[in-house]
Amino acid sequence: MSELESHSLSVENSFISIEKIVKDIRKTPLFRQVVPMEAVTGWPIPLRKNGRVFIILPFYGAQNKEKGKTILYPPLALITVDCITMVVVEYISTRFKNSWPDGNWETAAGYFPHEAISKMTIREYKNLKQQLMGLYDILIKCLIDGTELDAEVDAKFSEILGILMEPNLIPFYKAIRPSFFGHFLKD
Amino acid sequence: MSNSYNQLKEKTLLLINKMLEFEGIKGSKEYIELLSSVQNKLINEKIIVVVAGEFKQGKSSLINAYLNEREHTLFPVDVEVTTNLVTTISYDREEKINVILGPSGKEKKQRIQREEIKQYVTEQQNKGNKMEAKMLVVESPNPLLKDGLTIVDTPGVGSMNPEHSAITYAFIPNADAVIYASDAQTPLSETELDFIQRIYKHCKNFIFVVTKIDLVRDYQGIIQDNRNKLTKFLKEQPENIKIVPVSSRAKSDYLKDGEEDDLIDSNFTLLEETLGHIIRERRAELMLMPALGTVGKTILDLKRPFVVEWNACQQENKQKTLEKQNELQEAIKQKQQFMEKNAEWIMALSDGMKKLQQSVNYDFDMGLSDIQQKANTYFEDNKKVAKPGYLLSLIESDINSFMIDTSENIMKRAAQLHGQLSELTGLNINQVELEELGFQFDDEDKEIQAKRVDKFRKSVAAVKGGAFNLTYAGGFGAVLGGIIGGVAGTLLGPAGTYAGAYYGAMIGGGLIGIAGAFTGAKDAISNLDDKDRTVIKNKIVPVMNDSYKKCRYIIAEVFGNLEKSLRDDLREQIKIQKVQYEEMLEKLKAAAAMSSEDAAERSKTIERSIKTINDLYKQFEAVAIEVKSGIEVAEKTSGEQTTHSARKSMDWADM
Repeated sequence: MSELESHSLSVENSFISIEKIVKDIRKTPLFRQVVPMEAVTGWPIPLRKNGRVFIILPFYGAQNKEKGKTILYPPLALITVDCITMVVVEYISTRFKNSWPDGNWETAAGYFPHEAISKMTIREYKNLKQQLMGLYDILIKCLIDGTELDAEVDAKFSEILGILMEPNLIPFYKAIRPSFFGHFLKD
Repeated sequence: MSNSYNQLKEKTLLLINKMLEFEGIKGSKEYIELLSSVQNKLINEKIIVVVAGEFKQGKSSLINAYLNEREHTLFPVDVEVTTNLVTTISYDREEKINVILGPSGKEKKQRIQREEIKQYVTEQQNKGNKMEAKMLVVESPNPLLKDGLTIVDTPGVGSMNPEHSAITYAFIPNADAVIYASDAQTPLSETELDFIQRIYKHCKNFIFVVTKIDLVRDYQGIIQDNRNKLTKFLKEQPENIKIVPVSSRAKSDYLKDGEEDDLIDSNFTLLEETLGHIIRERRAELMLMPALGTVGKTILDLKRPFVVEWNACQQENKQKTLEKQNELQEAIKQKQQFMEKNAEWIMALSDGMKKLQQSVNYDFDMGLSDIQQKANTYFEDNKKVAKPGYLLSLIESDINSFMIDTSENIMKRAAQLHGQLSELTGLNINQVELEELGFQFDDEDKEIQAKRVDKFRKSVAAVKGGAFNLTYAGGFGAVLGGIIGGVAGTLLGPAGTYAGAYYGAMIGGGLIGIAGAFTGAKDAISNLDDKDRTVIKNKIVPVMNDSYKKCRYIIAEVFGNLEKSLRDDLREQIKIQKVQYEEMLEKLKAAAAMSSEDAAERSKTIERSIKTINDLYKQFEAVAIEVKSGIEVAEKTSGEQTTHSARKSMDWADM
């Protein structure tokens, strides 16, 4: 079965899972060709255009020099996929083209775990991340169905993303997609 | 869902644990028992997934692949093999396989080995079910089953054995999801659509799995065709019909050689996700809402005596304390009157039951008349007359479906009657009643109440409201399951226990009784050489009449036990409330007799307890809101109407 055929299987299901999209993008030839395998996937960004829903997946570098502390770099690549067909519609290298030319996209920008999550247990952190992934699914489903997002879900999404996002990376994410992060990451 | 079901379940269990550890509950045996039973119900819950479909559609392969079974011995698959028996598989620490054998009413459980399964479940080795096998019950240490998943494999649509069809029907209304398997090589047939239509109204959580996609180059056409047909037959929007194409062979290859591409090709990840999503939604509504309803009410019940005692310890006004004592004595007297044999509510229950029975009997007669009319149209249909076995299956399934409808109707109306009687006997007491009795809450409590946001209150109220009906329907079903479902309980073995957790055991028992009327008739009719309409009709009509009699008998049995169950349940609740009032009165008297120093000291202790209870209530509210909002989100995403004010525009996603 070809890769395209196997992706088209997803069309038959109305539930889109962000975790599956994040996982499946790594199996595409484009990813293998242009993104270093060791790059970590950042926070996905939903996008709606002409009634179709896409996901921008940022990828960034991470370096583990000392135990319990990982150095994080700003996103180095962005891949946009149609979240239903999984067809890649855009690839951007942020080191070649970005909407914040004054920002330094090449040097270390922050650490993991940052202060807000450093006091959590691994389990607590995983649970929170899992919750956010669940909220992504709801959010994408609303965009696909053309229904509006419940205010409580909106607030919860904002709250969890605010906790999990490394503060030093916020300017980069806001540069990538000001409307999305401007909405969910209020100053 | 804003959170996964298991996380919410863990939070609910944690809250129950905290309540059981609370010092203030130690002397209240009835609340400890109540919470422990809720806890056990949550821990031991069974999630039932029924796999249905015609013969040779790959159901057994699908289950083997889903459960990561590399050997195909649990659910035998072979080119020539067809499953002819209902099989359930659920978790246990070690593998146990039992077959339920023997003539109706005299079934026995027999332990067998894996290698022997084929002898019982396949048409080839157990032709015409000469072994009189009713069901296969498998318990397995498979980790995928550990969270309570029970998979029910059913024989093909229109199985030749009426008892097996009846068992399948008994499971359907209790199922969390139905996986309907059809082959990618052929579109859904009229027989399949007819069967789907019949069971769909009893369980709407359907996943249509198209199997064997590895055998077809362009299976998308079949999927589109199936979707169009299902949209038309089920009167659903196309997007509400979930179709998942899978390849059990690819999954099997993956299990053998670990090639990730095979797993992707199998598409089983998507099936797991779809099933998980459905189960989460349904379970939150069915299990967590009732559990939280009980938890919330228990917290308030526990708080009440402390509030009363705290008020008494203030010793501000002796006259007022005396008035409160009198009011409580009045309330106790009233509860005592409610416990008398000729109490008003018992008369009301009796009257209510008579009306209920009349109305159900009327609906029942109308229903039978519908079945008769439908049967007449079958007899007029030449294609159906040419296949008398199939014709009989249709009538049989009409009767099964009608009995499920009738029992659901009875449950619903009985729950309404229970609600009215609770009102009459003051069992739906809440904090407001305490205020009416003249007791004031402590300052912190007032503050909490004032701070409480309206929507929170609404959410919690909805949880409580939903809880009543669901808890009642469930508990009541369990009682009925235990009494009338005895047949199914014996027949189904461990499966009967959880089927009976609702009211499936009753239906199951009933349906299997009715199936008795059809047993033998199918073979006799199918073997008729003469396909003459009159001959066939003359053979079938007596079978129908016999099954009608059995249906009437089952309904009469239900009513015979229903009134007693309702009366016992309400009386028990009145008794618990009376005991609670008596304890309050005692505490009130003791506090009034205390020295002012002792009363002040006691006040401090009570304040600590009230603070703990308030904390527990806050935690309850948080979990309840999370569950409720999860269900609402699920409902909204299912396309239901929503309030515009609570929503936000999503223009941040627009490009």
